[in-house]
Amino acid sequence: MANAELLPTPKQPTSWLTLLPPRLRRLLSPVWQSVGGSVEEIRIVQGQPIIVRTATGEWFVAPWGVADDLAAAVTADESMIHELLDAATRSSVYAVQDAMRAGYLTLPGGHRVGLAGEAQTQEGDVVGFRHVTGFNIRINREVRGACRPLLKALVRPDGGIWSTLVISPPGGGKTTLLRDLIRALSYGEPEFGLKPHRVGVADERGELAGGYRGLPQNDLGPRADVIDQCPKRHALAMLVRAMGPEVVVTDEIGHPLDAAAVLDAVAAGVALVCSAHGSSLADLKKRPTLRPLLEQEAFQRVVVLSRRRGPGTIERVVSWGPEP
Amino acid sequence: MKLVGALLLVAAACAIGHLQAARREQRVRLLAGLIGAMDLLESHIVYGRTLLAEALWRVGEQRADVGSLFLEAARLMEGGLAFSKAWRKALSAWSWGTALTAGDVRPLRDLGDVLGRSPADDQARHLRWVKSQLHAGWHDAREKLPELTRLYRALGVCGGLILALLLY
Repeated sequence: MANAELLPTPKQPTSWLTLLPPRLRRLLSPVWQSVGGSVEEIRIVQGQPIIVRTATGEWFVAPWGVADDLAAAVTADESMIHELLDAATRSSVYAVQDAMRAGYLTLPGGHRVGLAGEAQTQEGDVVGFRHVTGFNIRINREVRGACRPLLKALVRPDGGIWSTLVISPPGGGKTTLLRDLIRALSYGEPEFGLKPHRVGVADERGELAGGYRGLPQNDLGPRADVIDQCPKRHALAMLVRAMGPEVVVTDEIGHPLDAAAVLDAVAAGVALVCSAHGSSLADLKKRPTLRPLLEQEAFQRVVVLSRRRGPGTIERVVSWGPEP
Repeated sequence: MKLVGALLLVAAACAIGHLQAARREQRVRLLAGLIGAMDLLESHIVYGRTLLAEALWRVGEQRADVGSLFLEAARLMEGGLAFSKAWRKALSAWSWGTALTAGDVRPLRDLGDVLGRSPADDQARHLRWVKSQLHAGWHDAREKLPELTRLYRALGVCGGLILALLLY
């Protein structure tokens, strides 16, 4: 399954370009003309050439669009970095300092901006950035239909969904797949026998819902309840306790406390859809955080993704654990 | 005819004296207004974590005396300008023709380079520094106000009389 087979939603095209400050918008406008819809990442680092990454490769940004040649590349200067920080924070670093402490910002439209530079620490903890000198803008892509090739394997005979773990290396399309899966669960997919579900989304990094000031920017359907910018362990507990979900979805389990919260949700009888970094099942089994989840058979399906034929290439769907 | 001219001259000189005195009073009022506005801005930023454009709107609506500066900066930000540019532009337009001195405007201008660019505790430090500068200007202006207003009014009357006598 490569992205080319799938239909991007109509709201994608201009959203990331309009969020940039005027000078960068002018500079990247020709890039948008040539490869805009398929841009996945834009790297803007002070003193370095600006780079865009698409599903098919990386290019330098030149005044006329994209180029292979480093000599043609436009270098990001200090004022460009300041302008971008102003635009990303809406000139309000203090209002987003908690997100910055985690190393990223979420923009309207759900685009995520990773930050690099000189971190500011206090008693060993990161409290923010003293100087931001680099950005990695990850474009939020709603790919409707991304989960359809998987639904047959994930839908239970009773119209529910098997608890599923999606794994891939970074950039492998986990988040895009989960986002579409939430939408499918929330609306239901009668074609695949999937009934509509109440879905609780623990969106710690704001990437699934693309939440901006608490409001999802992505279409997650009418039955999705989202708690964003909240540690997964708290969000999962809050959702199970308060919102009565039939399925809970969360992205990138990595911390032992996340795994414990996931097991608590299993104990509450809720189906799970989660993702984690990893390129194979063997990888997963080596990770101490995930091993208990596999050993306790929290999941009945494991989906392995890769970038082999573009992000979201389905390598394997493995049945795991008991099927109640 | 000469007498009418002389009277007009004295009246004009008195008016100039009064205007100058009124400008000194305006400076005190504006500085007090700016200090109050900075207090509000600090609350919105440090405690409310309100986005800067919205904080500027709120301050602008709450402070009738200096509100137009904040409202204009907010309007420019909503038009797509970063705070530093919006603030500088709004401040130049607003302060032109007011009784504020270059020394009064300087800390406000410097605020454009730092506001919105750091965490809340750092923002509080910057705002308090600006407030301390404004307060020093306000204290100085208020102390000298009675003396200066008397002086300008007297200068207006005396200057007008002397000029009228010389020309008469």
